[in-house]
Amino acid sequence: MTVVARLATDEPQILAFCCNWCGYAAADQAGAAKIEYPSSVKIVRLMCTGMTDPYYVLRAFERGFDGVLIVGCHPGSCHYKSGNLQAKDQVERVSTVLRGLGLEGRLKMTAASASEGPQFAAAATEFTEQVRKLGPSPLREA
Amino acid sequence: MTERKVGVFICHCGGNISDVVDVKAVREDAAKREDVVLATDFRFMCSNEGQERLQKEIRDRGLDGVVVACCTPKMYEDLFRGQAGEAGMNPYLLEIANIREQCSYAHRHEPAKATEKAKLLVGAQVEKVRRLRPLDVKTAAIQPGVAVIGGGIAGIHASILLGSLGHKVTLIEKSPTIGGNMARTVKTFPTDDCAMCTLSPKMNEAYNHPNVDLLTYAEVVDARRSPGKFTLTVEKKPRYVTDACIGCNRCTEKCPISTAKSPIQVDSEWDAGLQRRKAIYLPFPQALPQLWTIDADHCFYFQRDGACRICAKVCPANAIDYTMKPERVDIEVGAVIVATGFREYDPTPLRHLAYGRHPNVVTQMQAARMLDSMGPTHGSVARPSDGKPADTIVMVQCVGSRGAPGDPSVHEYCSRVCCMVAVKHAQLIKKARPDTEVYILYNDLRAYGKGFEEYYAHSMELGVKYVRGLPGSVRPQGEKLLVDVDDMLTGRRLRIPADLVVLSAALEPSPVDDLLAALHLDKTPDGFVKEYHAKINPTETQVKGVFVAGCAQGPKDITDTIAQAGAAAMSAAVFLGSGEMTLNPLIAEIDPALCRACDRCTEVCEFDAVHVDPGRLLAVVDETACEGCGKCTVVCPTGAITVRQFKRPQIVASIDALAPLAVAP
Amino acid sequence: MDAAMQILAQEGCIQCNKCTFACPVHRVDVLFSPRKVILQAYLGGADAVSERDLWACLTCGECQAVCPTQVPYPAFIRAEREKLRDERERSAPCKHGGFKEIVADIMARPNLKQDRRQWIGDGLKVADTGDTIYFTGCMPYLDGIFSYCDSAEIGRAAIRIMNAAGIVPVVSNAERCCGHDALWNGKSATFETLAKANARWIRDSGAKRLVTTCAECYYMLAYEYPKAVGPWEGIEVLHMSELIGELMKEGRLRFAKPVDLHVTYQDPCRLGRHAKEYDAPREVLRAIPGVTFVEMDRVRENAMCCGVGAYSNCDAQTKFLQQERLEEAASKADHMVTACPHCRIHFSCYLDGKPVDPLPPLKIMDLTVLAAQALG
Repeated sequence: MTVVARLATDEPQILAFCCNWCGYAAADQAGAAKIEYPSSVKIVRLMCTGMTDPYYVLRAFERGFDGVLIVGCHPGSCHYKSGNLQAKDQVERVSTVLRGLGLEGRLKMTAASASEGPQFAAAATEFTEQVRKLGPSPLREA
Repeated sequence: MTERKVGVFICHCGGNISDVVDVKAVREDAAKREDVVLATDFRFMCSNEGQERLQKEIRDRGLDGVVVACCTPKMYEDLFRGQAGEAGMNPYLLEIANIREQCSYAHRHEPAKATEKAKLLVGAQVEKVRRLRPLDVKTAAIQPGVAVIGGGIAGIHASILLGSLGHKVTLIEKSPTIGGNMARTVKTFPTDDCAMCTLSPKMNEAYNHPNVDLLTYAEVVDARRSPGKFTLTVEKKPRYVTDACIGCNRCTEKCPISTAKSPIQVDSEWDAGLQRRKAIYLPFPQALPQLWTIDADHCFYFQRDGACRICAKVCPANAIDYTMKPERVDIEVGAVIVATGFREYDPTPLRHLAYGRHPNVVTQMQAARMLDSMGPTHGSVARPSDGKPADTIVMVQCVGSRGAPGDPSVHEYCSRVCCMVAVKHAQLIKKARPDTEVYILYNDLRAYGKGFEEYYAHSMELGVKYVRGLPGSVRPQGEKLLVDVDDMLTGRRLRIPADLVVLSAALEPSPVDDLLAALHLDKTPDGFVKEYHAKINPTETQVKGVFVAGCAQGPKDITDTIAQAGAAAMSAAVFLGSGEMTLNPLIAEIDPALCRACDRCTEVCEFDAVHVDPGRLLAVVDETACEGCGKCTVVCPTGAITVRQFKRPQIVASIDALAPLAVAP
Repeated sequence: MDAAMQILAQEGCIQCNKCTFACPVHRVDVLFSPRKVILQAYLGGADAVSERDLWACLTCGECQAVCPTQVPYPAFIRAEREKLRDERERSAPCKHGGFKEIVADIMARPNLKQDRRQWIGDGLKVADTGDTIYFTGCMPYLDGIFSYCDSAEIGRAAIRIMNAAGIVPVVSNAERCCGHDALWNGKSATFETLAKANARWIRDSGAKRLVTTCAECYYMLAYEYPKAVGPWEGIEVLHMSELIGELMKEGRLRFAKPVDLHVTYQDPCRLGRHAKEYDAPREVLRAIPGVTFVEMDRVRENAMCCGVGAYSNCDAQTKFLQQERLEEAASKADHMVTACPHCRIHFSCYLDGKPVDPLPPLKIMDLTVLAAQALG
């Protein structure tokens, strides 16, 4: 098994799973309002945070991300009624696993509705700082 | 994986992207990726020229995958997919890489980093596109015809509009006549129009409309959905009275039910329980259809084995037929409007108000019946206990509404209309008998609509007394009812000896849980039908093709009901008018080789869109109902159910492409 | 000749087809036949194996158990997977098992600092050093995805039993996945990384015994690790059932409390056919007071697999296999005792969904958990 580092950077690499209707739209709104947040935050669009499989979270860590952020609709406002509630359950489940693997504190779920661009940017920035304090993920090293 | 021919088109967005991101570098990076046969850039991909280029390259190179790196997909994903479709490539083989809002805009001051990020974002979409399959967009023909469930003013108005537009409407009403609650309200605020006079012409129009098929004394007992169609099973209850009926009323006069010595007594629904009715009856004089009905549950013939046949004996037209049976019919429609209205809250649980424990405590609906000159008290607002006129009347607001959260005996919401109803009844009483003392005990007096404030001010001029406070108790003393209330504006405790206490009871949704379940409709926490969106879409529901109107969606007055019914009719007409429903292809699908028929997907689906076919032991997706949220994909143990365009290998490839590490097995 | 063909060449297949009729997968998919696969390999080489044939095999070994020439079919498939893994992408990896796979992959990385004791709870004693290591394998992580049973319960029961016998086992944060699935699914490089990491901390610990409650970990530690990282000098590998038996005989463990249950026993493929340990679990069951133990008809070498091997082949057919075995168990008892957490997970997964046919009430129970109940 060979692991090759591709990015020569000290910046905490964050993968953000964003739901199409809220999180992703909030990220768009942040951009449209020219609010900046760290470029090391990369976004993968899902239709609903309820689509978040623990496998994706673990895959992200296995591939060297320092932190994983899940941005969805506020409770009660999920476009698909309760997908974000399932996401929350899955996040709790996988958080237990991550704690065991020594990756505690690197997964977070938050909410930002489509009009909450500033909140998205703030969440992305804050989480990046939080992860920076934890140091690079132990899985970063090849 | 078979080889693909992927084209990458990078937009400058007139500088919005290219001022920050080094587009040339992104282009060169994309060109190196596996399966990318073309990487090009252009100033404005969304312009005519940009679109032409896209089409040309797709055609000339036979591309079977395209990434357009530009602004957010929410802007032009549909546009570019349409262009791709016209150029002969399946539209769903195209993905957008968002390098504007989520890159050049958000990282304006870090051009080098933004460029690196753009390369990764494009790479992630290339990896996704390489794994995409073409998708067919299916359409389903929408069945013509509308079912309107509920024959009150909302249902009547919607039926007339839709019928006039040429749609075949089936109007289904549970009770023997249309008209609903409005027919009983006597007068409408703030104009004091006679309710029946404004309602009756509409009832007639609906009844006589060539495109409206009226099913009364009928109930929807089952509903099934298939693409473009609803099949409703309607059970028509037997009236036991045939068309030969001439409306002479002799049967009602002679019917022994509810007479003084009769062991079977039945309250009149029409008169809100203030008086009785017979087993064979016409609900009210203007009832439509004008058909008498035998209520078999309260009839000696049916309850005592054919013991009584008086109505058949006295009927001059031989119109009684005891052998009629319930009939079930299936109707197929393309759209359904739920207009099932409201019922009045029963204040019995509120012991301090003595409703149900003293005859002189009534609700506003009962007061309305008393105000009806054709009603049980012939228009006189009297004390039910002895029939004497009520000289002092106390009305209590917010009974069953605006209650404490968590108290199961009351509702948290405001019922919206009861303030105006109280004002209406108070001023009608004052006008009829100016010497009557009328008090309205209130929390807030909500007079929000057109003409409402003026109406309320006028009632004060007439001498209606408004006391800001809600009563602590209503206790009988002698002939009176003592109402204790703290007047918060004067700070005084009042003890009002009332002849009659009228409770402004809450509006509750009609009890139609079975119907809602059959149609897969949700309720909002207040119990009313959940609309698609509280602000921007109050007449559609989460179920495509099902609309809601009137008090079924929430308490409202007649003006708002009619407005909403019109909106619902229009929405339904637009839906039916298109003739065809495009089924969203980005929904779940099942791989039969992997399905364990374990039911886990069924359990989490909010849209009732997947079921296990017990015969085939295979889960099946209802393509009209599935919204593509993907909850099921997470709980499926084998990965049998997946959402198109968001399949595991596609998402994993995106994650890997964005990741800091590459892992070779 | 490549490794897979070498394996086939060692023992000549005489094409008698007994394997096919013993094979559980063949019962639910008539086109699946070990004999046919071997023939294709003889004629066309190792690359001739199809994707379905490569991954549908449970590697349970029922074929080998009946084979007159003892063709090692599971080992052959294992070698084929190693060779063809990239070209024949699995269409039926158990998706929930994909989770298990990535957790194992993460454990193969060098700089991990795990916290593997969260599940232990109060009242149980473990140590950092000692004579006996309790090897937990993936158990600390299983409850994260397999919600239909409580796997950590097995671990707690094991520690309770050991504590009762005066043993304070070592539970180490340095432990990794034993690598069973990696090895059997053609990722031998990952397996070797895991094996080397485990071997290092186990040897450095100075412990004399390795005890595990998992049949797969047991098989791996006892049979595959010596081949991959050298023999365990001075270290004994035991399955929990063997330890319990030993402690009973030494009088260090007494079952004071009767447990009134009608049970039958499911031989795990890895403990049974692969490691030849059929007796120790049965002795434990017979020693627990109150337990009525009835054997199923197909036991020991002929026991039927739980339907999934190395989490790589759960599909639409698997439920019929599980129904078949559970019907057999339910005809004998109302509790099926397993000695492998994965048998337990797979059968529990089936019972958590909807059985294809009505089943009499049957509960799945782990042997160690049952034994701990009898401690009183």
